[in-house]
Amino acid sequence: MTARRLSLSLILVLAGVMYLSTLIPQEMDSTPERMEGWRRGHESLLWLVDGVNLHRIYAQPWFAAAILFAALALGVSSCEQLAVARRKLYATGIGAGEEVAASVSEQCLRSIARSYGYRFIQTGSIEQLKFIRAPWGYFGNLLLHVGMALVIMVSCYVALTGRQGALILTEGERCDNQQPWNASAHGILTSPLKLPGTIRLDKVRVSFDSKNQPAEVSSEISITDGSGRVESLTASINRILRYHGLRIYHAAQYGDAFSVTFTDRAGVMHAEKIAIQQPVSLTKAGYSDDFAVSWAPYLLSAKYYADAGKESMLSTNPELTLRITDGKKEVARTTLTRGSSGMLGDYRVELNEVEKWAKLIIVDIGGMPVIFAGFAIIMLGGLLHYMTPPRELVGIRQQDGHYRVYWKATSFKDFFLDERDEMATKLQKGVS
Amino acid sequence: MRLSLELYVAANWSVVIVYVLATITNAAGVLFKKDRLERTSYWLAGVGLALHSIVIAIRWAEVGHGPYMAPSEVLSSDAWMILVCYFVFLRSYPRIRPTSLLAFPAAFLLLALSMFFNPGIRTLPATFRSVWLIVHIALYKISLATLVIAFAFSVFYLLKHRRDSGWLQRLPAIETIDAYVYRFAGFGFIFWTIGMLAGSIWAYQSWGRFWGWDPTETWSLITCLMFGAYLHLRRFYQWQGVRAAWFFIACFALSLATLFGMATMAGSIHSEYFK
Repeated sequence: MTARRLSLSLILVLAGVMYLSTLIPQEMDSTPERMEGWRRGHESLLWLVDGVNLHRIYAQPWFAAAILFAALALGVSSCEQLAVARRKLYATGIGAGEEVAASVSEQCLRSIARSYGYRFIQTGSIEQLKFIRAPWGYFGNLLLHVGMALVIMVSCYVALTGRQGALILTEGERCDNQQPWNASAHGILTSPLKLPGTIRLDKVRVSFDSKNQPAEVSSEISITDGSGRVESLTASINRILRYHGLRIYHAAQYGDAFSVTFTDRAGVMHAEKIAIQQPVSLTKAGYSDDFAVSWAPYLLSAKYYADAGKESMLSTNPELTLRITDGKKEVARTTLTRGSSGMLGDYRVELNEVEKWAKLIIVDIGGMPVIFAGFAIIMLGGLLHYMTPPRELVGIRQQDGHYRVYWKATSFKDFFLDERDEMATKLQKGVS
Repeated sequence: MRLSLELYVAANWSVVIVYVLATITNAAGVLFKKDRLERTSYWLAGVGLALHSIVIAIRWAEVGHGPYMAPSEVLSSDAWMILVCYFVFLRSYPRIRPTSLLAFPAAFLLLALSMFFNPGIRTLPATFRSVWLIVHIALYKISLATLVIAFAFSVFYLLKHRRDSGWLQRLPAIETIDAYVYRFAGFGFIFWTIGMLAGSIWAYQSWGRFWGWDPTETWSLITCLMFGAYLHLRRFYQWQGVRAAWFFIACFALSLATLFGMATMAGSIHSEYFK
C-alpha cells in the first residue's frame, strides 16, 4: 500500500472511530445515568462494546496505536513529499507546460520573468532556462504533513506523560500533598501528580466591568514547600501561574461558599458548607442543585443572588435560598442573608458565614511548545500550498540561440490565466 | 450610542428586508441576464452589509463582547461574514460573481433565523476574555463563508453537468467551476484547521488542556479529516467532476451539522453559551 493510500485510509479510519465515539457514550464525558440508560437500550451490543472497551475509545491502546501509525505514515509521506518537492523544483523539461512564445531572446525572457516575480532556478541544464514564481509552494505539502506528524506524536507523548489535578478551596482553607485532589488525571507512563507543598487560598478577588461582567478573577495563594519556605502567588483566569515547573490555572469555577447550620427538632446541629458558582448578573442566580446530605432524607438545593439588594455584584450581602425536595416534590424553602436564620421544614437554618471559593487546576505537562510549533508549521504549510501554488516559465534553447517558452501552473491553473496571457503577449512582442 | 431591544430587532429586520431585495434582484439579474438588475443587487447587498455592520458594531459596544455569545449573535455574524468574504474574494476572483445566487440568500436566511432566538444580552465569562477565542471564532466564520462559495460552485457544477443551457451557459466553463470548488474547499479547510488550532491554544491557556474530546471538538476534527480526505482524493487520486462535487456537498453538510448542530449538544462545553 502506498503512503498516500495509507494516509487516506487512516484519515477515514480515525474519522470513523471518532464518529463511533459520538454514538456510544464515553465514560469521561457522560453521566453514570446516561451510560446506564444507553446500556439498557443496547443490550444486544454490550458483548462488543465491553469486549473492545468502546466506552473508553480514546484510552484504548489500539486507538493510540492507530494514532501513532497515522503519525508514522505522515512521517513517511513527509519524506516522499520532500523528494517530490525537490524533484519538481529542479526538474528539467517542459512537463505539462503550454507554449506561450516561440522565439524569445534570453535577455527578454529573463527580464519578463523577473518583472512577474519568477525566480531563476539553476537546473544544471544548459539547454533550458527555468523560472518559478512562488517556488516555496512546492514545500507546502511537506510542511503540512510534517506539522501534522509532529502534533500527533507530541500529543501522544503529552497524553502518556501529562498529569494534572484540580483543587476547590474556600478562602483560608489549605491543602497539603497528602490530601486527595477534587479531580485528577495522569498518563499511563507517569504517576499521579502530588502537590509541591501545602497550598492555601488566601483571597479571591473578582472585579466587574461597567456592565457587571466579570473583568478579572484572581486568587491569592500561599505555597509552603518542604523546607517551610512560603511563597505568595496570584493565579488569575487566562493568566497562567508557573511554580517550580508546574502550571497553575485559575478555573472558571468560583463563587461564594455559604456556611450554614441546620438544627433539627431534637436540637442536633449539622454544619454544611455550600459552594455555589458565581451568578452571571444581579438578576440571575448561581445554582447548586439536588445534592444529598447524610443527616436528612431529602435532597438539598441552593441558589444565590450576588446582592440581596440587587445593586452591586461586589456586595457583601448575598441572598441565599435553600430548598429541600422529596423526589420531585418541594418540601420546604427559605431565604437567608448573612447572619439571618429561618425554618426549612423541620430544620432551623442559620447562615453563619459567606466566603469566596475558587477552583485551581495544577498541571504538569511537557511538549506543548512543540505542539504549538507543529500548529505553526501546519498553518505555514497550508498557506503555502493553497495560497501560493508555484508557476513555472521554462525556456528551451533553439538552434538560433533564442528560446521557445512554456508556462504551467502546478495547480489551480484557471486562477492564473490572466498572468499567463499577459506574459505571453509580452514575450511574443519581445518587450518587457 | 445605545440601541433599545426593540430598535435592535427592528434594525435587524430592516437589514433582512434589504438582503431579501438584493437576493431577488440578483436572481433576476443573473437568471434573466439583466446586467442592470445584477448591479443593483450588489448595491443593495452593499447597503445591507453597511447597515448590518453598524448594527453589529453598536450591539458590540453595548453588550461589551463580540457577536459570539448567543445564537442570535452567532447567526447574525455568520451572515455578515458570508457577505464580507464574498465581496473580499470577489475582488481577487471575479469569476465567483454568480455565487451570489447562494451567498445572498444564505445571508438573509441566517440573519432572519437569528431573529427567532432570544436577543437578550449574555454575560461574558472571564475565560472568554482571550484574543485566541476571537481568532478561533473568526476563523471558523471565514471558513464557513469560503465553504458557502465552494458549495455554490458545486451546485453550479452539478446543474451545468446535467443541462448546460439558459442562464447556466453564462457561468464559467465547467472545468473552471470544478477548479473553483477545489480552490475554495482548500481555503475552507485551511481556515477550519487554523480555527481549530486556535481553539486548542485558547483551551490550553484557559484550562490547561488543549484537547478534551468534547463532542464539538470531536465533530470539528471529523469534519476537518473529511475535508482532508476530499483534498487528498482530488490531489492524489484525480477525483473531479460529479463525484467530487457530491463528496464536497456531503462534507459541507457535515460542517453545517458541526457548526450549528453539535455545538448545541448537551455535554459539550460549547453548548453552555449556545443555548
